[in-house]
Amino acid sequence: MNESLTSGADDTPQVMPLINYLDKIAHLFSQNNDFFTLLPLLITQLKQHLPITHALFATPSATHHHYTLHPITTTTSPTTPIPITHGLAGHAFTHHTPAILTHPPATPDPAFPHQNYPSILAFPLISNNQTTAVLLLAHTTPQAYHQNNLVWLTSLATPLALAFNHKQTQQQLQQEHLSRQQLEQQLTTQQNHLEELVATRTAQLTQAKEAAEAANRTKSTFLANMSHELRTPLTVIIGYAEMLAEQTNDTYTIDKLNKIHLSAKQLLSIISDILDLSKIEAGEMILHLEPVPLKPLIEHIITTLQPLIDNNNNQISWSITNTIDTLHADAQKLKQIISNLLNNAAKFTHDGHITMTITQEASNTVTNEQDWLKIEIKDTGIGIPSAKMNRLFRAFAQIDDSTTREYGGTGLGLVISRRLCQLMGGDLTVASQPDHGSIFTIYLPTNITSQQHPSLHRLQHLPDPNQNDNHNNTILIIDDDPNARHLISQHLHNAGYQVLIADTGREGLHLAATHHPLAITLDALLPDMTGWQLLTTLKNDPALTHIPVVMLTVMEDRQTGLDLGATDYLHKPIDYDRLATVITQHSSPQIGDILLVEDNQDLRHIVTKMLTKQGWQVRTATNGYEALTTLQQATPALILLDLMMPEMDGFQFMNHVRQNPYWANIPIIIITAKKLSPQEKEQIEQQTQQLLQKGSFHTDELLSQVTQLINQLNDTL
Amino acid sequence: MSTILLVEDNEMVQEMLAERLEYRGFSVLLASDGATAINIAHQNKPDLILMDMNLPKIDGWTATRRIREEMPDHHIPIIALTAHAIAGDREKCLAAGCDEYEPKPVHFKRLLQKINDFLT
Repeated sequence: MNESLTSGADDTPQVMPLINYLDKIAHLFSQNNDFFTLLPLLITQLKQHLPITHALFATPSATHHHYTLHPITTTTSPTTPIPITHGLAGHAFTHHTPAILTHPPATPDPAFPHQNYPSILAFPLISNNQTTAVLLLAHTTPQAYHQNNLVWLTSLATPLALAFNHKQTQQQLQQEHLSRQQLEQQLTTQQNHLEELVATRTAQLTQAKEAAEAANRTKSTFLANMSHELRTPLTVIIGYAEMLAEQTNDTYTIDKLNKIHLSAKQLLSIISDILDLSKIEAGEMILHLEPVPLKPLIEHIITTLQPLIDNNNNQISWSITNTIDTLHADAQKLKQIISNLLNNAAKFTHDGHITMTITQEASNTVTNEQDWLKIEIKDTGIGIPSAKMNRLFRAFAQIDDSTTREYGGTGLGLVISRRLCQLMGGDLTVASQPDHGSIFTIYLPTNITSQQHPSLHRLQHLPDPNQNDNHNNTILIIDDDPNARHLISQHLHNAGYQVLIADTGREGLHLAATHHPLAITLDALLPDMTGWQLLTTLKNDPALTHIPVVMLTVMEDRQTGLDLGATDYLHKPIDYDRLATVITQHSSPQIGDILLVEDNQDLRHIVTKMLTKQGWQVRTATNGYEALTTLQQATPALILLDLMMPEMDGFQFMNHVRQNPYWANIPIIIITAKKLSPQEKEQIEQQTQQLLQKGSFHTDELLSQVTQLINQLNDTL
Repeated sequence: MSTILLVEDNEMVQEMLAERLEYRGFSVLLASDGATAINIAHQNKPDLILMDMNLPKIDGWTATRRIREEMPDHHIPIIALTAHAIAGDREKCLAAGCDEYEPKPVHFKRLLQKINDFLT
């Protein structure tokens, strides 16, 4: 067989058989998808014209430093990669031309280490001027291969190289497909996990909310029951004390009986207060709305309280605007509120004056269709220290023990009065100056229409989003509790803000997107999504991410809120004065607030110290991601930016900042030790104000740059 | 001398109110539950009933309703005494057939005023 093969190798095949032959090979290629299945078939075909004892297929490593051999005619071949310059295959790889060995070499070719073949042919498969593989043929007789073999063999090179490329591409595609499948699977798993987490979290929150509500109801029920149990024996004490005092003429006994009577009455009034408060908190306080003629009501209250007013030698005067006749309200509650305030005024004022002024306030933007009744009760008494003002409306927080000792009472009266006002859709506010007196002001809608949802007002004329860019003064309130919404909106309105209201997450998102409010207050529990989900959505929207969001919630989840990008966090029940402060603080541009983004701790310290010494407020971030989170909380006047940082570098960060219209104008000063490429320099020139090279800049230079830029900013505002 | 039926299940409150009413010159009949109250109303036909609403066996609302149904031709003024003092109680009492309502703890002088309004 070798003889015939050798003799055949001397002659170029005839033209027709060759075409026929190439056709066959082309057919092979078209029929076989797997290149390595094809190779043995190819060799069988080649054997018709060439002597072949052993055939190998060599492919280069990714780096082209080595090549690897694949068996074709046998099942085994050297497995260790061979340096790309070694052997006949190496020659073909490096020169991109076929090579023939006609005589036995001194040492066996590295491709055939176990047999020193005298004839070897190395045939490169070339594609895009690159040798992508080499076909190695060997035979046991010398001079088995000739140059003229190569001529027709070359005609095979193209289809063979194409087939090989095709195979490699397919393999790559397959791999990519596999890894994409894996990725998709990972994504699905992660998504499922996330959904699970959200579901768990929502369930936990709901559970916690229900538990809190249940606990509160239990507490209120307990208080109501206990109050009842306490009142019954007190009734007996009061009854007998009254009775015995009526039946005796002995002044000593009458005096002592009066003291028992007075003490029992005080105890009774405290218990009644507790009962009232617990009823309000349990949602069991029901309003009885009826037309209340105001003038007779006030006259009645003052007549009743006159002895108390006279007690401390006080004078009282009152006035009422003519336009007010009747109020649609709960007469009993209104009487309770006014009596309580007058009572306090009389108690804390000596030789002074108490003035009650009742006026009507026309509707405003918050309370569109409603007119408001304003009852102002002013005294010239001891007043309230400012530090203690915020405790005034909290249960069991009379200013101090000495107040209780001197003036009596539990301090529940004001809490109840305010809650009752709120129940009727209004509020009670206070202003005071120690030693000069206090002013308590009751606000009530003139027509309280609904008990469950007292005066639910929605901003009717929404501000035109297009006109509002320069003088945006709108706060968006997202809360499903109508009372909370109403109270927040009132307080913010009093603080000078326009208010937008949404009771669902969807509506909240819509209003945020259409009106770009100055800030958002967000309830953690909403009917259609959790506050956390909404917060995440807001913070992931480049157009909305800059809007400060203040979370309002009963949950102890401050860190979660801040991690998700909330600017601040307030617990329910809300301290409204603090809410207004927080909103103002976060929504006004803070001039002199500098964001320093730098991963080097030492440098961060030095620069921060240097800047704070000069009076700047400095916030820091250690990488681009952190800096974006910080930006979401409040917009700084200036950014000092390092370029080389982990996770998100300065360039990526700059891109994010400049793409957001709300951040696009923040001046950025680059501080870097990086040697910049021309492209990087160009980006920096386009996107920043100043470039300072680390090591080369002086602190004075940095300071003067910062000062200069901030001054420019001040001028433009 | 007018006769008042005092329906009250708390012994101490009952005794105290009875003594105070007697001191004011009223003749007082006592009941501690709704069933007894209905019986006494039938038998003694008092001039006025002070009815506590939270009572054992038959409560004050039911007792009042039964008295009104069973004695359609003899209207005895009934003043409801209720410890809840929640808005809505008054309406509930009046709906049951009471003529007046006095929240507990009883303000004795005010109660006397109401009693006298019915009896004169």
